[in-house]
Order: sequence, then C-alpha cells, then structure tokens
Amino acid sequence: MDPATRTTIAPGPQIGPPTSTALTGGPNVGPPRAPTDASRTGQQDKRFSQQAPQPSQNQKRTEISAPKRSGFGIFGRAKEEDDERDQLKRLKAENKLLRAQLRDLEIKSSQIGAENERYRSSLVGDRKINNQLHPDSYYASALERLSVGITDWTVSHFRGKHSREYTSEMVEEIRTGLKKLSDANNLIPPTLHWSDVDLQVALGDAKFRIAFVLHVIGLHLHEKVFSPFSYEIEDFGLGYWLKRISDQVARAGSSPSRFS
Amino acid sequence: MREQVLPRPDLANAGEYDTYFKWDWSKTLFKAIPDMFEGASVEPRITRRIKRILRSVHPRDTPEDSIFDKLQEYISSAIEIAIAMRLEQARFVSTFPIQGAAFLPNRHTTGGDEQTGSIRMCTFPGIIKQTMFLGASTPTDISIFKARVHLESAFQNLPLSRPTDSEEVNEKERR
Repeated sequence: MDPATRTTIAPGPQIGPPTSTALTGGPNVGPPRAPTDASRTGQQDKRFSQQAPQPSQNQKRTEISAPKRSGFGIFGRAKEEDDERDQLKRLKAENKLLRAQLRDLEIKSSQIGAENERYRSSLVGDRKINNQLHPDSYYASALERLSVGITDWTVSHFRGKHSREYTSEMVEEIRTGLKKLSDANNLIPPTLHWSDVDLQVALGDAKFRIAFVLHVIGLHLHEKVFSPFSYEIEDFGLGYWLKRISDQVARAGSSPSRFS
Repeated sequence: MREQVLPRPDLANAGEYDTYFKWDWSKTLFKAIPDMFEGASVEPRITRRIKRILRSVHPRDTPEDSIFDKLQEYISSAIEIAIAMRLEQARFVSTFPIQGAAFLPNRHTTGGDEQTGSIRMCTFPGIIKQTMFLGASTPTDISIFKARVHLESAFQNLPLSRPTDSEEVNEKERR
C-alpha cells in the first residue's frame, strides 16, 4: 500500500478525541497499537511528517468530525446526568433533613409559646402560690362587683339635683365625720379633711358629689375593713406601724426595745 | 367492781398522744378573725359612721334611713372579702392614694376616662398582693385590684391646692 495514498485516504485517527489530539495526532489517537510493529511505526512517523505542513486540512477535519464525536458526548452527558441525579439526591436528602429540623423547631416553638402563655396567665389571672385558698381572679372579681355595686348605689341616690343649700354647719359636720378617722389615727393627712376646698359650692356639682361620696365610703373601707395590716407608701393607717413592728419582731426574733 | 379509769389526754398535751395532731391554722383564723372585727356589730358601726357624713351630703333634706340598708350589705361583702384575704398566706395590702400623688397606671385607674394630672380623689381602694412576705412592697407585687381615682383634670374648677405653710409645719412636728 502506498503510504502517501494511505495518508490522504485514511484519515487514521478518525475516532480520536477532539481538538488538540487531532492536531498533535499520534499516541493519543485511536486504540493502542502493538509497539513491536516497527514498519507501522515508521509509517506513522512519515505520516506525521506529511501531516505537519497541512494544519488547515486537519482543522477542517476537526470541524467536520465534531458531530462524529457523539459517542463521547453521550458518555459525557450520561455522566452529567449521573452527577445531576446525585446532586438531586443530595438536595432531596438535605431538604428532608431541613424539613425535619423545621418540624422540630415548630414543635419547640409551640411548646415555648404554650409555656409563655401559662406564665402570663399565672401572672395576671389565676395565680395560686403557696396553696392559696382562692385564685387572684376570685378577689379581683369580688372587688369589682363590690366597686360597681357601691358606685351604682351612690349614683342612684346622690345624682339628683340638690333641693337644699349646703350650709356651713353641714360642711362642718362632714369634716367632723372625716376627722373622727384622724382621731383614731393621727397619721391621716390633713388633705383628706378637704379643708382646701369650698365644699358648700363643690357639693352642688353632682359629679363632684358622687365622687366625694365614693371617696368617703372608700376611705372607710380602706381604713376600717381592708387595711388593719396594710403597709404601703400611700398607706397612712395604724396598720403601717403595726406591720413595721411585726416585721421588726419577725426579723429580730424578739420584740425590739425601741418599740416597747 | 371498780372500773379502771384511764388517763385522758387533755388538749394541751394532744400532740404527745396523737402523732397526727397538727395546728389547723385556717380553722383557728376562721374563729379568730371575725372577733377582730367584733363580729356582726362591726357592719352597722362602720355604716353608722359613713351615714353620719353622707346624710349631710345627700341632695335631699331628709334622706330615708332605708337607703343605707343596701350600703350595709356592701360593707358586709367587703368584710367577707377582707376575711378571705386575711386567711391567705400571701399578704394582701390595701392602698388609698392621697391628693397630689403621682398616677401610676399599674396601681391606679380612672375607669377608662381620659384624665391628666396628679391624683385629685381616690374613690375606691386598691389591693396589692405582696410577693415577699416580709419587707416593703416591691415592683414585683401583683396588683389584684387597681385603686379607682380621679385626676386633676376631672375637676377643673377645683384646682389642687398644695399644703399651706402651717400644715407643713404641723406635718414636720408630727414626724
């Protein structure tokens, strides 16, 4: 066989890898051949020497043979598809994991929310500590009923237009009644005697009159009913001193000498 | 035949014989507290005191005595609540803010009316439950019932007067 003809006719490494391998030819091209075949090696060398000055032809061949590399393309695509499948599997697994975490967090969130709600309700409403006999709400509603009842009673009996003038004697009688609380307890501040207000005029106003009646009843409830042992800054009752003494005794374990 | 008389444990030594004997604080207080209020007589006594003042405030010349019957019922209810609060281990404290005191939304309420200024008049005492049994009240105390108050703006025609010099002197002397 004429090697020159062979060179031109036989494209040789037809199924060689694309691009650079086509240009460099030789060893990477086609299936490996037996190195013992010396005559063939010589032919190949000749072929290289002939191919070298014709790069344009090779380029053409490369361009033409591009679609023919479909075998490797399919393999590559299959590999890519495999990669994509693997990635998809990985993402699905990750998604599953995240969903499980989300579910856990949601459960934890609802648990904390419920706990928070419980704390809030215990603070505001039915707080029962130390085996309390009644919850706080029991006292709150009982006091609300009492307050509303007294207000209704006051409004219904003291709202009407006054059919008499308030004389100085009447005002004096009112002040005397308030002072009787102070006689029992000289810690009551003088402002509660209403000496700074012209009661003769002020009581003519129904709004003030109703508020004043509620004030008088409330003052008696505080002083005579609710606070035998009260102990607050606003508190001015005998209970303040009683409570201080009892607290002092409780702390010291015996009666302090300064109170004796 | 003579009967053998066994010695009976008296009440003072009950604890020695009955291992389950214990002081029932609630029963004891149930008996003791009404005595503190002098039983049933306390209701008419408080009502009488209030009536003496309110008779002069009433808009009519001669208010009927019967109108105060309902007030006595309310006083009775208030005493029942007070007794129940005494029986609790927690300490319930009554507050009655005086004129000129600052309005504290967590302790006082105007009943929904928009009012401004300092407290002019308290119309119903507030009740606080103290979290700490001993010692002064703290911000952690729970407000069971807010004190009902009117602020300065509710009575524009009655400006809040500050204590006079003589009152301040008296106050200092009292201290």
